Amino acid sequence: MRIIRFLALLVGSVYLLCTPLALAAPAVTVEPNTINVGINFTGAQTTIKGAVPEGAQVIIKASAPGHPTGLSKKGRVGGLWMTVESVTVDGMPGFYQVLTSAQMNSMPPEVLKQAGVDPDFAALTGMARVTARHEEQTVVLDPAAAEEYARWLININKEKGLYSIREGAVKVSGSRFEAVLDIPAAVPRGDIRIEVIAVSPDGMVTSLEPQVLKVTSVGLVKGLGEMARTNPVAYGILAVIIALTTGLVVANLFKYLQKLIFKDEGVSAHH
Amino acid sequence: MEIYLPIAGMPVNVFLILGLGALVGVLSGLFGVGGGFLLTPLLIFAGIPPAVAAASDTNQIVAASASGALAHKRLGNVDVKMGVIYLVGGVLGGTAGAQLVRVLRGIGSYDVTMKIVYVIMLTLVGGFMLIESINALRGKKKEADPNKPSAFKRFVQSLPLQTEFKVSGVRTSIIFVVGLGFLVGVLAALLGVGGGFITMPAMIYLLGMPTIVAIGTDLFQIVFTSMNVTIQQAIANHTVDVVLAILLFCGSTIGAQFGARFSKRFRGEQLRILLAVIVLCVMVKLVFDLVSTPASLVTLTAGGGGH
Repeated sequence: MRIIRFLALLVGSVYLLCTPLALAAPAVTVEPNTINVGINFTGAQTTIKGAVPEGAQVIIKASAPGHPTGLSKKGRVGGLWMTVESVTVDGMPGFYQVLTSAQMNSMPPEVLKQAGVDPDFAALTGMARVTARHEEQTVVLDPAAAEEYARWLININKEKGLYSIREGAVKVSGSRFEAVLDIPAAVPRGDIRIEVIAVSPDGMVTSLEPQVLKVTSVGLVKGLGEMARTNPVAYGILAVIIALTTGLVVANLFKYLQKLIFKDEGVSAHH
Repeated sequence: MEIYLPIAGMPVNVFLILGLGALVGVLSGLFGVGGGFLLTPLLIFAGIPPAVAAASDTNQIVAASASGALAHKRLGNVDVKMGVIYLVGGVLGGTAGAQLVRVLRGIGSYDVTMKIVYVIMLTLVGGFMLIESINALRGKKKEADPNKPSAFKRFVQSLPLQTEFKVSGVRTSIIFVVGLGFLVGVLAALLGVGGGFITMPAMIYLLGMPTIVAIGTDLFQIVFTSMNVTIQQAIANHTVDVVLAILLFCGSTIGAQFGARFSKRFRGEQLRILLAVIVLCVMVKLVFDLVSTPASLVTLTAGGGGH
């Protein structure tokens, strides 16, 4: 009897321990959920999967905040192509990828609007704040001019693989969905927020709990990158010492190799 | 094999960078010049942001010149007195040059200014070398009249602080040597070059130093000029990528060994013609970039690409 009571207690406590965990377990998993940018980093992939209502359409938005970015516009001056305007674009994400399970034009527009996505990055151009420096003054550009620069920045980031819209990239089978997110080499360090929205066949919209994908520098990339920014004097001196040491070691190495291979004191000594 | 550059913030193919370093190393072994003036544009063609290419190239020159200068010091080809005085000008010029880079980058015209200065320097040096070496090959000798010094020589001789340089066997003004060093220091910072292709002709043709002493002394002073410019660039612009610099140096050292052995198969004039043609080809490519319609009208401001 005591054994049975003990077992019942054990099962009961395991059940009690498991239940809150099972309830808190995210409906969305990101695997891996950390991207390490090291010396051999050339980009990575991460898999996003989870459960949605049967037959739902899925929208995944992965985004990270950006930094102000400098853009230069070239124009023809005296027959030469040179910079005619320099601007700073602020308010645009540093990373922005949208993956969907179907063409966006087959989805309810109000859902897309609520999710902040569209087939043409229009959600982003409205967020851009563009300033130009004319002489010593900073001028805020009007919305039309700002949109033009925002479009250029979107194209640059698309080429780097930082921005993309991939309709049909999310696979849904039954109540499971799965998608692969491409992380390009130029990915900014920080947190990428992953939001998943499901639209059931009956039109019900569910926002799943957002997940975070961490992007961190590791090893040499972290050490050198941080040092160059926080202690540039020491970094400059280190760069010089590394170069001097390499140069002197190599010079002596070749002298030694020449002695060994050609059995002489080096080529130049005889001329 | 790819390697991620911490400062440039992009992955590069290791063999491409080693290859570019080796190519420039072969040339510098062949011709006895630093080769930095070729490496910076080659790196820009390879997609490295211009400001990072120039600063990291200077870092690479520290390694290359230290290794070359040591070899020449052993052979007694370094005029230390000339080198040190020239350096005073070089350090001042390098400091001024790094500030100039910062100002130019701030107003967004760094790239175009750099390219124009490049085109002018490459045209002058390439053109001069081509004419000089063709004349030398045809057997024409310069008809210099020692009794009638040129206006330039009279001007240099009229400057104060005339002094004797024993190793080089010349007598000239300290002010002239410092001024020459300053000019080359500014260019070194602006272009990311050691300045060998300007200093060498200047030492040989303007100061009258023997070629071999000019090479040794040039390498000696470049060690210090490029050290100064590397530190200044790290402070002012955060654009020195030491990983890129070491990769380039590894390539160039290996290339330089082959270059030095090839050079014994050619006559000096033939080598100078070949170098002049290469210099002029780089110049033509840069001019083409300036006058032809760019692939994209709007680009990231130089040095962008993050940390």
